[in-house]
Amino acid sequence: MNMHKYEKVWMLFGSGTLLVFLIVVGVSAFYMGNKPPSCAVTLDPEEVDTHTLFKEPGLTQIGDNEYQLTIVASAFDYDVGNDEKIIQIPKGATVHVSSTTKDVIHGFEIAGTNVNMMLEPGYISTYTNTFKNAGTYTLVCNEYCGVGHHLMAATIEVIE
Amino acid sequence: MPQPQRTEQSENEHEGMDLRGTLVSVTILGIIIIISWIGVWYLFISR
Repeated sequence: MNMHKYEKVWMLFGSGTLLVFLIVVGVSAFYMGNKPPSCAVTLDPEEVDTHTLFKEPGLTQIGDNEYQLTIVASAFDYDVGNDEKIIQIPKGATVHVSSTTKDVIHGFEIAGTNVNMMLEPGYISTYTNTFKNAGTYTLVCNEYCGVGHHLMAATIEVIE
Repeated sequence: MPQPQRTEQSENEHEGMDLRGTLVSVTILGIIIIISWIGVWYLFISR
């Protein structure tokens, strides 16, 4: 096989880069726990309102600076437990976000954070996030769900 | 016979080709890719 010297250089550069990327992402995923949102837990989409996790949506403290946030999505609303659609979280808190949908597929993104997942009927989507930076974030639906899709939003306030 | 002569000629041409421009161009592209990868990576870690 007759390869040009520069071709060997480039292939070394390319495979080396790929190796570095894979190792960084691999260590981050398996050693530091940065994995995609889990949606392996299922539930009956018709029985969401009576499910233990989603009976009363909202923020509950489950430990020292650790919270559980459950939200029920439907077309075209995020049920966060209050009518103002505002959730207040102390800065630095670790929040286990769990959500599901009662009807169609919705998105669940807290814009400006790493919380970004899809809500599929029959599945519970969860993601654990530490809210390191204070501020006001918008929870938006980024998966087209119908005529009211652009109206689906809530507010997350991370306070000092 | 035309066949072996043609292959020999094309291998010789291959060795004489000036690939410096190609190497520089793809290296620049590679650096752009690495920089954007690191940028997005930092964004993810910082949030």
